[in-house]
Amino acid sequence: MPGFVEIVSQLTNGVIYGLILALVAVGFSLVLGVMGIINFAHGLLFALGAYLAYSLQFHVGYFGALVIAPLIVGMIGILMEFVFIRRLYGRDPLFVLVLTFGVAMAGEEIIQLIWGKLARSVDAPAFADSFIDFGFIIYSEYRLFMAAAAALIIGATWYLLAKSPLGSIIRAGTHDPEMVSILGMNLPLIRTGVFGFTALLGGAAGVVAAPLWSVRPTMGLDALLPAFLIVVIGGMGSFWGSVLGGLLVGVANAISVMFFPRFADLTMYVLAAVVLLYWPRGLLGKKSVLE
Amino acid sequence: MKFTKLAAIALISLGATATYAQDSVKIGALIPLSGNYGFLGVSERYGIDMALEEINAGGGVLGRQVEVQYEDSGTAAQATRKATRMLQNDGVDFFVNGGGSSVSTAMAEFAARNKVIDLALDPNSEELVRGKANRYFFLVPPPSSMIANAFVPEVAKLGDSVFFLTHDYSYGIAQTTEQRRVLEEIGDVEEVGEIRIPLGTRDFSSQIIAVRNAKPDVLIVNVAGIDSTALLEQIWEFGLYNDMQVAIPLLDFEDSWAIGADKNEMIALAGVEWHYNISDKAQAFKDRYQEKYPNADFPVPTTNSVNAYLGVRILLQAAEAAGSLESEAVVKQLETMTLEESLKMNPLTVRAADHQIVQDFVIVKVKPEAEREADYDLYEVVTVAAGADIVSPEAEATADMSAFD
Amino acid sequence: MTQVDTNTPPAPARPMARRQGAMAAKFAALLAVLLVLPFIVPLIGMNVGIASEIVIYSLFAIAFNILLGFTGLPSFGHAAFFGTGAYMVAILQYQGIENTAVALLTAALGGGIAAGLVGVLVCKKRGIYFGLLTLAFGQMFFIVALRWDEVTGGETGLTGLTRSTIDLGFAAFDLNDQMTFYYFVLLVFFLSILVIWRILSSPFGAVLRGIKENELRVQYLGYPAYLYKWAAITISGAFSGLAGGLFAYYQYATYPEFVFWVQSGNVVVATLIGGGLNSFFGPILGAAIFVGAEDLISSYTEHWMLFFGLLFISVVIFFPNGIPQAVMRLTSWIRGRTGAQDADKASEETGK
Repeated sequence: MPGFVEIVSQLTNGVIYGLILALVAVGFSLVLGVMGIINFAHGLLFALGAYLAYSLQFHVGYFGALVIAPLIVGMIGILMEFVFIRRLYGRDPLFVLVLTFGVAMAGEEIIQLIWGKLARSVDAPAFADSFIDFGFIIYSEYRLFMAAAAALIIGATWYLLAKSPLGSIIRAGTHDPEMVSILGMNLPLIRTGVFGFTALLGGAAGVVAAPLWSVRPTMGLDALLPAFLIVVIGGMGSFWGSVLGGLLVGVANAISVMFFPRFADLTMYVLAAVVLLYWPRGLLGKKSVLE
Repeated sequence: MKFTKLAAIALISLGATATYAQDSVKIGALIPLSGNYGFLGVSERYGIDMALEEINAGGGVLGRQVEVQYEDSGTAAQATRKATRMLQNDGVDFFVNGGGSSVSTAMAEFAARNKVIDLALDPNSEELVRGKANRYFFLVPPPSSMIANAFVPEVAKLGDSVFFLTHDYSYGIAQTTEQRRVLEEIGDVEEVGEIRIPLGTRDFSSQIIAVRNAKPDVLIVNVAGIDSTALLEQIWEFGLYNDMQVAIPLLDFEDSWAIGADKNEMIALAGVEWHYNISDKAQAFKDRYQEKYPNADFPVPTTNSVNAYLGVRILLQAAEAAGSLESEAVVKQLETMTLEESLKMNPLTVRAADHQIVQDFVIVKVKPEAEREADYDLYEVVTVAAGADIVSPEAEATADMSAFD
Repeated sequence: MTQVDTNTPPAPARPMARRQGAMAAKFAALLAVLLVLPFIVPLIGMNVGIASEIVIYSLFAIAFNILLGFTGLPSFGHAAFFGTGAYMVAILQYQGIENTAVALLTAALGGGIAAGLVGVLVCKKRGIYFGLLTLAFGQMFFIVALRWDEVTGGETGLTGLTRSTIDLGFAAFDLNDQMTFYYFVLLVFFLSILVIWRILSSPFGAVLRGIKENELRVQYLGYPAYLYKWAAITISGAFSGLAGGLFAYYQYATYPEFVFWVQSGNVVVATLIGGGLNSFFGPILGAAIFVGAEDLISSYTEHWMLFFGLLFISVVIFFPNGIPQAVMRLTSWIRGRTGAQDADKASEETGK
C-alpha cells in the first residue's frame, strides 16, 4: 500500500496532468460542440504547435514561441476551414471526419518531410527547467508553470466565449444560424473564426506539452484519443465538462498507477464507459445536434 | 494505330525491366518509414545503402549488381502483404526487415512459409531465437539474454538495490526477466520494485513519483523505442537522476540524440550494441558515414545503421560463397558464416542452432563535457563484451531449424 | 428475435418486390466482376493475394454498414468484433481445432457475442455518443488483446496458423493455394452478403431504416427501438467476426492491431468513401479503393501517407456521395468526349 504522502503527491500530480489533458481537449471540444465537427486533425494541429515551438525556440525563445506558434497554427486552421471544411457544412458530420482524417494523414507526412522522423526536444524555459524539493515531494518546476499556463489559457477562453460580445455572437450562431444571418452577421466568417480559434488552442496545447512528451510526428494521434474520451466524459458542448473530464482522467490515471499500474491505460476507457452509462450525455453535457 | 504502337513500347519496356530484374540480385527491405518507428528506418536505410555501395563497387554478388527495394513495413499485416507482392511480383530474392518484434515475428513466419530468407535488423526479442526461430529467419541484434549477460554485471557495480521500469510487452518483460536471472546469479543486489508500463504511455509522472518513493540505488529502464524518449525527457524533468543511478540496458542513439546533448548526463550506464570508438574499422565506418551523409539526422552511425549494414553484408557474402541465390544453399552457407568485417572487436558469427548472429555488446557511460571532442561525442566505452561470452548456451536452443514441409 | 417477426410493418413491403429483380441483377454483376478480380489485379502490378484481402475487407465494411448506412449508428469500435473473430480462429487452432467451418462459425459467433455484450450497453445511445462509447469499448478489447499474453500472444499476436484442405470427397481444395483461397473467400463473402441483404430487405430491416430516419417515430409506432438496434449490432458484429476469421486465415496470423481503434477508423472511412451511407454495395468499392490504393501507392512512394490522405480529402470534397459518384461522372465525361449527342441527351435528362 502506498503511504499517505505518496497518495497526496500522486493525486496532486494527477490534477496537474489533468490540466494539460484538459487543455488539449478544450479546442477539440469547442469545435465539436459549437460547430458539430469531429476534427480528426486536431491532433495534427497540436503536433504542429509543438514542432513550431521546436523551430521557433532557437530564434525567439520559449515565450516567443508560446505566442507565435499558436498564432501560426490558428492561421493554418483558418486556411483549413476556408479551403476544405466549409464545403461540407450541412452534410453528415461523418464526412468532416473523413476529410480531417485525410488531412491528419497527409499532415503527418508533411511534418516528417519538414522536420524529419526523429523525435525532437524542446527545452523548458530557463526559469522553470529544474525541480523543487518540497521536502515530502520533489516536483518538476515546468509542470507547475504548465499547470498555471493551462489554467490561464482555459480561463481566458472561457471569458472570451461566455462574457465577451464576440462570444455571444458565436453562441447565437450555433443555436440559430439563420437568425444570425438575418441579423446581418457574416456566418461563414464566424465559422472560420471559431475554427481558427480552436486550432490556435490546439497549437497552444502543443507548445505547452512539447517539453514534456517529446516532439515526434505521431504525437498528434497520441493526443487525439484522450481528447475524444475526455469530451465524452465531460459531455459534448460543455466547456467546463471537458475541463472536468481532463482532471478526472488525470486523477484516475494517478490512482491506477498506484494500485494497478499494468492497467493504467485501461482506466480512461473504463471511466468513459462508466460515465456514459450513468450520465447519458456525459457529466455536464447538454442535448446536441449530433444525436 | 497509336494504341498498338504504345502497347508495343510498353511490352518492350516491360521486357527490358524483366531482363534487368534477372540480371540483378534484389533485396526487399521492409523497414519502418512512417509511424512510431519511422526514425529507425532512416538509420537502417543508411546502413543498407552503405553495404550495397561497397558490394556493388566490388563487383556485386555472383557477378551481378545488387539492388534494394524499400517499402514501409507498417503494421505486421501490411508488411506480410507487401512481402508477398515483392516476392511473387517484383522478383525479390532475399528480405531484410525492421519495425520491431511484431513485424519481425510476422516476417519470420512469412520466411518459413515461403522458404525465403529474412534477416531482422532491429528487434531484441528473445522469442525470435527461441520459440519463433526457424530455418529461414536470422536475428541480427542481440536478444535480451545476451544484453542481460553483458549489462547486469556492470549494473551490480553501481549499487545494492535496483528498481525495474518494464515495458509491458514481450520485449520489456523478457529484458527484466533475463536481468533478474543474472542478478540472482550475482547474488548481492536486491530488487526493491518493478512497475510495468503499458505500451503507448506518454506521461510517466505518476510512475516517476512511485520510483522515487521506493528509493533504489539504480533504476533500470527497460522501455523501448516509441515511449522511451518521452520517459527520458521526464526523468530529466523530475530530476530523478539526482536520487539514483539511471541505467538503460539498451539505448538507441537516436533517442539520446533526440533528447538533446545536455540531458544525456542523467544516464549513468547504457548498453549500446555499437560505438565508433571500439575499433579502427568502427572508426573508418564512422568516417565513411559522415562523408556520405553530411546532413544526416544523426551525425554518427547508430546501432541500427550498423546492424542493417552487417545484416546485408553477411547475407550477400553467404550468397557469394554459396554460389547461388537458392534459399537452401544460402541458409546452409549462412549457418557456417563468419564475417571478419564486423566493425566490432570480434568477427561476427552465425549460430546454426538458433540462427542468432553472435556479435559483441558495448557498454558505455556519459563522457564529462570537458573531454568531448564533438557535439555527438557523448559517451565513452566502459567495456565491450565478446559475443561468444554472453550468448546463451547453445544447449538451450529449442527451435527446430530443419527444413520442414 | 421472434418478436421481430410478429411486428411486421406493412407499408414498405410492397415496392420491395420490384426492387428485388434489380437487386438480383446487381448481385449477378458483382459476382461476375469478383470472379475475374484475381485476373485483373496482376495487370496493375498487384499480387493476387490482395484480391482476397479486398473481398474480406468488403465483407467487414458491408457488415459495418448494417449499422452506419442502414440503422444510422456510427460505430467507432468495430475492430473489436472483427478482431474477436480473428482471435477465435487463432485460439481454436492453438487448441488443436483445425476444422475451417467450425473455426469460421466460431469466429462469427464470437464476433456476435462480443457485439451483443457491447450492444447491451450502447443500444440506447445514438449519434456521436454511440460512436464514442463503442470506441471506448473497442479499445478495451484492444488492451485485452495486448495484455493477455497467455491467450492472445500479446503484442506479437498468434502467428503460424495453417489453412486446411477442404475435402468434399469428389474434390479436395487446398486453401494454401492463393486462387483456391480467393474463391473460398468469395464463396463465404457472397453467401454472407446475400444473407445480409435478405435481413435488410425484411420487415426487420425496414424498422432499422425507420430508426435511421426517425428513432422517436419508430418508438411511437410501438417498436422497441433499442431491441432492434441491439439485434442490428449483434448481426453486424457476427459478420464482422466472420470477416475477421477469414482475415486470420488470409494472414496466417492474428495481431492486436486488428483490434486497434485505427482499424475501426479505417472501416468507417472505407465505407464512407464508397458511398455506403446510401448504398448497399458501396462499401465494396470503398474497401477495394482503401486496400488497393494503400498497396499500390506504397509500392511507388514511401510518402504514401501523403497521397493516401489527399485521396480522402479529394473524394470528400469533389464527390460528396463517394467513389460511385466519381465513377459515374467519369463515365459521363468520357461519353461527353466521344459523342456530344450523348452529352446533350444526358443534360436533357437531368434537366427534367
